[in-house]
Amino acid sequence: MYFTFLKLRFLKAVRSVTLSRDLVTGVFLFFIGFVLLVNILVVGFSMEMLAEEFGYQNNISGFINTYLIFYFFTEIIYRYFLQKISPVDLANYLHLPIGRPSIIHFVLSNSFISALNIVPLLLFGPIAVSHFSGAFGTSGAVSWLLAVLLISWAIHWFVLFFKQKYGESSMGLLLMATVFISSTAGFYFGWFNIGKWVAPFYDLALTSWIPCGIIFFMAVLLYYKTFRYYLNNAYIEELSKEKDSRYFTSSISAFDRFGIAGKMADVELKLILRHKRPRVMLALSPLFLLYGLIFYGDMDFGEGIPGMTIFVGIFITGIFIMNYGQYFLSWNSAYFDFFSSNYKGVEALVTGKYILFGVISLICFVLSLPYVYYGWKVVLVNGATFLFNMGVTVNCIVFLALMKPKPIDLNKRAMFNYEGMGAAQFLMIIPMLILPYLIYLPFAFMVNDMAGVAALATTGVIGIFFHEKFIQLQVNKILKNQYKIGSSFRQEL
Amino acid sequence: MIQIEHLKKVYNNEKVLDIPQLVIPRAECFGLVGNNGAGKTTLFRLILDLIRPSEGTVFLEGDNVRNTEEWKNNVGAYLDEHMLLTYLTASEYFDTLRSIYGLSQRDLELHLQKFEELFNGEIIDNAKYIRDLSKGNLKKVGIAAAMLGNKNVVILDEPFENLDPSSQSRLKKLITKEKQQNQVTYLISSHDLVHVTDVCNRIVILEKGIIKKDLNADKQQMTEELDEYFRV
Repeated sequence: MYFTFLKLRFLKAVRSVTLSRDLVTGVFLFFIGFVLLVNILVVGFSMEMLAEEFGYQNNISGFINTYLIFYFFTEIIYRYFLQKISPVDLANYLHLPIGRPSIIHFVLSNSFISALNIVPLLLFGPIAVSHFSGAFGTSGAVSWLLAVLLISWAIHWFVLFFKQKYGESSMGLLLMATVFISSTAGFYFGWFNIGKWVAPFYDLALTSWIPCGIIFFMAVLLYYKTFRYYLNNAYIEELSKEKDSRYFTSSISAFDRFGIAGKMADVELKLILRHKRPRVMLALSPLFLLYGLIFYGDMDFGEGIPGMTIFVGIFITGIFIMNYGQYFLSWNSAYFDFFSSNYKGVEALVTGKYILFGVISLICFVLSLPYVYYGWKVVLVNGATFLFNMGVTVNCIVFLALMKPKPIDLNKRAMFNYEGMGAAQFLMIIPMLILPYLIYLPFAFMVNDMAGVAALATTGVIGIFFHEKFIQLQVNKILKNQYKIGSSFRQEL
Repeated sequence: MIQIEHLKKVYNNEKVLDIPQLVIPRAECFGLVGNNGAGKTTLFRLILDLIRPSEGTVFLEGDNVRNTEEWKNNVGAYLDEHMLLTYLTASEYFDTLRSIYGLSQRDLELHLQKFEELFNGEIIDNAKYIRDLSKGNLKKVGIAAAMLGNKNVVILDEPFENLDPSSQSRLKKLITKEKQQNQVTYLISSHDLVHVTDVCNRIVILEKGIIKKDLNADKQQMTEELDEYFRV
């Protein structure tokens, strides 16, 4: 049975219509994952050094055992975001005369084959071998390492259970964030040290197998608990459906003044808010506003304008254009026929998106106004970069995004989803980073910084002035390739 | 009037459609039947300029569909879910179309009134997104959307599929009534021979992309010819 499942899984991957694309992103992700794992291994090898750095050179086990609990908190959090079971597999087999328990066992054990599960081995294996085996004997080192690994694996099951039960609701996330932050804060401010409370347990693990046994029992229990939960809920609708939520049921009447394009902007906003992946991208925009806090604090605005502020300004006001615009048409891949079968539908769609870009960038700019705290020059730069984004960057990004638009399935997950990614998406960083400096630097060197900023703003305004021309250019580009785009979006190729 | 000249579509050296000539006059109800893979949807997509013909031209009221876009105002179609914005509720979707076609609120209301019976109270003011509707209701939304606005031509791919028997009869009644009142040309593909002979006054049988029969006689004779063709 297991073998059949594995074979089917393999065939599914190999025969996927998007195989070549999956392979490219797969190799890319594998590479990134590999680099990350190597980095973790390096941290693992430097554990001893780290302990000395913190002044624990005589008590390395004490240092590690005290901080271990914080590592596990972190692990819960990243597992919460990265770990996911694919319930689609379930739907394929549920109607067949295969026992539900064996399907669930397969689905669960399949989830266990994950790089996440060797992270603790890489992180704590070196110190166990190099230090603990000497100090506490091989048995002590093994029982300690096993205790660490088992906790990590227990967390694996716990997260699967927790996520399925509470969904990706903000409540669950809030709960975990509270535990994590309060324990970290408690430690930081010296109120209480949760690490000190837990340390004796791991200290014991170095000399005895009892903790290891307890945790083993706990991990098995958690697996069983998760298994029971999945078994009892092994109905397609319950496991696969995103918890029903209604977003944004009213229309924004301010868009009406733009006519059909305004309507399209309104509809596009609904598309963003009602699907997870674009919603996350929108939610990131206010987060990027905090970028300023990182940079402005260290800058000296006394003399001129630090060159870095241009970069920050481009990002603060343009992150949505970059994030969302890079997949410009892909978002509408499932509905492309709707636009191409309506009179001037494509034009309305493109104009609507431009309106949306403008409104959201403007909001970002307005929200960045409090940075006036660091000096009025900050606001000036952000204003100029906002204009530049609206007049120039947006056109470049959309132009690149239309090079070879790929379909996106909007109902797939948000994190680490590389669907729709192509060479163009990598190239996009160029207009974002280089173009503004190409305009700014010559004027800044020849005249002064202010002239550079003014040049940026002027270029932006010129671009905005010709926005209809640019939009028409993009529309023509789509119309020229409409058959190719249409059939690739219908996934016919 | 729809006029098709030397239309060919080839995929990977395989001819999926080859129509030397076909004329569909105004206000005709044109039925398209044929087994799976006969090229029905391909023909509709070519008429709508959604795919590129390998050869030949489609003229709508004398205009090459590939050269202009104006005709899209007067042609409505529902082929599949790609033509719906499934993340909207049905009401939001109709309202979006209303503003695309430049209709008034009242126009939309009047239009939807015609569908009241067909919708059976399950579509309008339903808080569900279109993607969460049942297949039958999804189809009803698509059909109503295709017929919205001042349409000269309405193209429906398998409109009776997934509908319950009463909805099928209601839809037939609706199309027949619209056809008589508004001089609309209907292009309907279907696997249901009874429905298609009931509604259409001309039926074309497509087989592997080629027109096998062009039936234009009285219903009785059409039924007999169809039965003969599809008998196994």
